[in-house]
Amino acid sequence: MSHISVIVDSIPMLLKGLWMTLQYSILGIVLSIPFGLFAGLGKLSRFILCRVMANLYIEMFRGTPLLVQILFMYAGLPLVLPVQQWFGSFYLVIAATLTLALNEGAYIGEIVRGGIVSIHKGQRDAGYSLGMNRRILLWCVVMPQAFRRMIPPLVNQFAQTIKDTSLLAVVAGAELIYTGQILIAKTFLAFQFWTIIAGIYFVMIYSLTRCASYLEKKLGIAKR
Amino acid sequence: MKKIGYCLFISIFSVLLLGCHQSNHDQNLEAIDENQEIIVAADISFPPFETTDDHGNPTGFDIDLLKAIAEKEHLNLKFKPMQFNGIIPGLQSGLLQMAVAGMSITKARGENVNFSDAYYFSGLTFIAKKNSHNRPIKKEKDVSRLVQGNIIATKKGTSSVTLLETQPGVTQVRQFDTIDDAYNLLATGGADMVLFDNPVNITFLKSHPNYHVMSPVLTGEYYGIAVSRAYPDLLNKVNSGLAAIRQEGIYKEIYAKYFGQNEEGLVSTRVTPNQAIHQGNASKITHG
Repeated sequence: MSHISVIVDSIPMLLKGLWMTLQYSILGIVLSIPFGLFAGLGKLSRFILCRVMANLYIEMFRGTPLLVQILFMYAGLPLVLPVQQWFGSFYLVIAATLTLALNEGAYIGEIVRGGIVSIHKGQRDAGYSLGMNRRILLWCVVMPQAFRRMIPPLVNQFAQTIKDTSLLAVVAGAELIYTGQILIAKTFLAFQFWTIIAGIYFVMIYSLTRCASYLEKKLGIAKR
Repeated sequence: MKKIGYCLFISIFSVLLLGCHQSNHDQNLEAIDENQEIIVAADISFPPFETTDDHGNPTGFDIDLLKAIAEKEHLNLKFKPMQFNGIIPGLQSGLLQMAVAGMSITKARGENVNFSDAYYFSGLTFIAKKNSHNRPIKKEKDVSRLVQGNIIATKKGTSSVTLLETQPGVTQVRQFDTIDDAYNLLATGGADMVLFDNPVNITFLKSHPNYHVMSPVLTGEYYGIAVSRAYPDLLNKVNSGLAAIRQEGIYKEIYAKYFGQNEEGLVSTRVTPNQAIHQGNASKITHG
């Protein structure tokens, strides 16, 4: 069947698209963690400036669609700032991962905050009575417990990040969806390629959730 | 792991099933009666062929042409704005009956949809900013030198992409859903050049004086009206309508309304899709 050979021929292109999707996802997830920590801890800070900044950041990125943020960064901003000249052809990857990370970071911020405030006040009182300072209390007592509670929503958010990379197709991000559109424009096999691409996304996200449930078991969360 | 294997199996299996899926459409060919609404996809980001007026209604050369054909053949058309790369899949599935999108008649497309006789003769040009480091070329054979080391933006799934794929020196091709996004990338400096259908490039240059054409008109391609294979009847009506308006001079009137005295694109005698594929010199540059 000729369809099969067309699909086999397109495997290198699909793999290239998959590689870009993985690259955007991994960079986006890794970079979103510091943004999330900043936002989450900032919202709980004693200092009003930190709280205002964290709030502003979260509300800004949660209050606008990711697609708009991507288009703003890639198609809008370069018209007023010479970013394309500064970064050259890397600007696409920079803009894409940064926008993804900033967006996901805003959501992770709320997850971090939620995890921290869910730890019983008694834990903090106990820490203070043992003479711990705020920093040690946060990182050695509160965070380890909060982290276990954050895992399920974090995994959710990471899966969302992987799916959100598909929006980069509009700025020619060369990831899976873009590759699919290009292949379909050439071969006209829309059903076949969208099925394959859906399958690839599913496998990626399914492996992520399997890893996460393994981690949960290891940390003894599921047993409680 | 078992489950992953299972899912892969399902995906592959459903793909394999597909041979049957597509041939189904050819079997229940439908006749068009006078009152039936015919859905015509139009890629409205393709001025002056298809664009929108102040009220958001589709307008342009292709639209006027099709309206004239519809009047002759008593067809009830309904225009549906769509992205270019969604049009052929839509025609294949039979969700759309017809499409105008300044679509070049090519062999690959002709295997998936029916084309009407040609109604416009077009070609591709490169454009760039006037102050760019690239110098315009005069001859077609210099294209490979022109594209060397440049980022080129264009629209997904168009004949421009086909041309670029055969050029060895192209560093990067960025493809967008609409040509406006490609022009925007050119404006921001993210792309060095845009390769696209000449009439559309010319329309862009009219409102953007600091850009210029970088090459002669490359290739030569005929635009045709695409008709879903499920409606052979409709194809005949479109062709006879086109022949009628050509004979009565309506075609030329509409042409003059949009392109004035410049008759480069005028197709004054009948050019069938087969002739269009063979006469269009698209093959000259792509294969040599």
